Amino acid sequence: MKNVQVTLVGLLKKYAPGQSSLTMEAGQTVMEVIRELGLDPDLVAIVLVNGRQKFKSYRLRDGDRVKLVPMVGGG
Amino acid sequence: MHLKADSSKCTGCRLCQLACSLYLFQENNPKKSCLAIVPQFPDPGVFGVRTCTQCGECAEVCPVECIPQNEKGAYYIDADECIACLECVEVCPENVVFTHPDDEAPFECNLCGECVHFCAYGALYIE
Amino acid sequence: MLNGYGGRVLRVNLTDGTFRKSELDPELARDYLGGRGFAAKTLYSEVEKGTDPLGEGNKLIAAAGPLSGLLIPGAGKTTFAAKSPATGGYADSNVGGLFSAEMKYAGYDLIVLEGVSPEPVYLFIDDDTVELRDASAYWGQGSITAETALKNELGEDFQIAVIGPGGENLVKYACISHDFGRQAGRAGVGAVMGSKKLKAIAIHGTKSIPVADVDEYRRIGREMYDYCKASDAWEVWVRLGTSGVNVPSNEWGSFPTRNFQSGYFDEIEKMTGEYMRETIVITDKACFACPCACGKYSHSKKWDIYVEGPEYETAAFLGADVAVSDIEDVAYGNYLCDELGVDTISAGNVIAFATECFEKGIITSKDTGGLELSFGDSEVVFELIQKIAKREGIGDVLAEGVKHAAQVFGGDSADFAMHIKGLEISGYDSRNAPAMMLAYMTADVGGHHNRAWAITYDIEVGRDAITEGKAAKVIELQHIRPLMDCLGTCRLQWVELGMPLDYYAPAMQAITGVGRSWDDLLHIAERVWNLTRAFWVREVDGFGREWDYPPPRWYTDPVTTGPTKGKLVAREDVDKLLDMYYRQRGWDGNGIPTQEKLDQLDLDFVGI
Repeated sequence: MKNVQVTLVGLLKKYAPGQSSLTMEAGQTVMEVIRELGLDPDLVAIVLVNGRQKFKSYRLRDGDRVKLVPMVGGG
Repeated sequence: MHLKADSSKCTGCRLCQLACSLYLFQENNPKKSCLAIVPQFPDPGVFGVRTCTQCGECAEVCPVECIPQNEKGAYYIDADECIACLECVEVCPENVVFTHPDDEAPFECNLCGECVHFCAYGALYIE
Repeated sequence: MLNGYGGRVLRVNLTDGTFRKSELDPELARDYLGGRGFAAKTLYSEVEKGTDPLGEGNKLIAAAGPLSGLLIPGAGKTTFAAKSPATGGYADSNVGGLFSAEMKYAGYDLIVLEGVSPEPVYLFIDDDTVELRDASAYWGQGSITAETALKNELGEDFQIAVIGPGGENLVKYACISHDFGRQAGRAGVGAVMGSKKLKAIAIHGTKSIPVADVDEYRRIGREMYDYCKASDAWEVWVRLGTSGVNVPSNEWGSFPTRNFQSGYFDEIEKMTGEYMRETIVITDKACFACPCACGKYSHSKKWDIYVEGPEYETAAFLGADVAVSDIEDVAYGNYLCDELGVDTISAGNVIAFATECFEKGIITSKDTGGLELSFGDSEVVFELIQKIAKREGIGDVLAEGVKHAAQVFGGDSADFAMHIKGLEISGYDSRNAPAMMLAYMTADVGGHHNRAWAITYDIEVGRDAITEGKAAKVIELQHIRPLMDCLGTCRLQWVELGMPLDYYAPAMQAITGVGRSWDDLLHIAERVWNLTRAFWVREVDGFGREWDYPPPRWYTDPVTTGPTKGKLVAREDVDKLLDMYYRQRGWDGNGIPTQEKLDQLDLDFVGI
């Protein structure tokens, strides 16, 4: 059952064209989702799950809303 | 209807005041704005916001009756009629009738809504 | 009347207590824009070669830019600049908050502080009224305490720039503090202020800033704000501020840990931005007219202190680099540095360096006055911060910075004294990010990240690669970001929210009435960059390529743990990067700007 909403932010859309918002399966980790999208994990700076920052090792649960945020230019 | 603030959302950036002065006077000057930010630092580390409640006490006290209401119901000071007695400044319970050395007449919130538009944090609203 | 400007320059001679106000020179505005451009030009032209940075001849500059105080997102940056007591070269450090806006409302774009006051004073500015006032009651007070006291005395509407005991005691990396937690932190501008016996500047202004085309300016400003608010990165940026970078930096292996022995800190759980938000943050605090408040104002229950932050750099240096893992302890260290008026980046760096020296037996408890230094001991960190600010015992050596401390401690400590040009390196280990390393090597104040931040570029094109493109990217960033410092605005709306740079040239045109393309503006940034380089060449005997090398640790010691374990940038690659960079810049093989380049930038007064 696909019920995790994943949104790519900013320049990540460039790296996964046509996939800026998609639904994925719960049970896998954020890192697995990133790899499935073909993204370099280093390009994903901040992982937000339901508005909260999580590690990429976070295992997705039913209904999670995920935002993958790149870091464009640092501090 | 009046301008209200959720001060817990205020970040003290003063963009509201700048936007206010640009609308009201076409000038870049937060000292010519119609709301007040009151930082309380270092302790307890929060911002207070004072806005006009449209209570009308300024209009009541005005000796030349030059504080009518506009189409939104907001009191405004007619600078052409004002005699600069500053009674309205004195009486305002929120301290939000403002003066500036450049201007004889005081000024107050006319509910234009510019501050609400610009505040990125949703700290200001009109209801 | 110069559109976009306060219109005047204020010069204060602290030696004899006199003031001079003059109209802002329109040619200075045209050729250098403002902010760091004004600072670089003033220092190059007015500070005599060989001036003692802590002597009467040095000048402390406070400068606003043409966007400061206007309806432009983040237009609240102030540049403080001087010849650096930390490096002997060019220094500027910018601070957010409300100071430059207030300068312009008082009618000043540039304040030049000259000479040395015989007694502690503070500078009082209320529109046209300028006074030097007795500061003996404030001298010795912490920055936060003194700012509170000055606001109580003068009124909440006064904006304050203030030093703490660190600045008074001439700690080489003392900062200038403002708005309860913002600092012009780097390269010792606070020590210069302390050397002038100037405790604070208090400023208040009621004037309007003129703009050329008010309707067009408001239209562009509104678009810029609307863009920021709609950015899908807005939510996380306001929630976490720079502390959101703690986790990704660690995952990149760029989080300085145990004096840069590693770029990975394995005890980050209590130091993530999210943990910080949930445990100590109480208020989001923004600079002037900023729609994406990165300031996280915190209260630590454990220590019962209020502090703005800890932001990323402070988490790196009072956290991972000294192996302190609890955000409340980092916050307390942050509070001590802020109150005592020393830069958290350099202070943490120096303490980490001393700790590594202690663990390697290069220094012993005899040198430390009985203090046992070890990574992860927060009490020792707190103790050392206080000793540094008061220059007590070993603190007197550490107050000089890691370069000097390595000379005193000896052994092989210079190999892991993490500085470039005498300035402690800020928070990104770059052994697997050569573009970032080059950015540090060539930054015009020494080891600082904010002139160019290139890790994402390293990641995009391949982290190990040594390419002309990396040198080109560093140069491009070294013009864009410092241009923001000239304009008096913040880079983070572009950097973090993705706001297009296309807005700035039209905004500048509407504000100043002078038509300039983005490339025209970048040309000015390049002029300023070369001028600061020329300042180094003039002030530092034998200056050249040698000064651009990173500390040996970055080309000889591989990263010890984490995702970049085993990585370094070999010395020959460091040289390749420098060769590419110098050539692309139009500098000679020793890193000196050529006459041709200087001519091209209309720097005809520069003699090299």
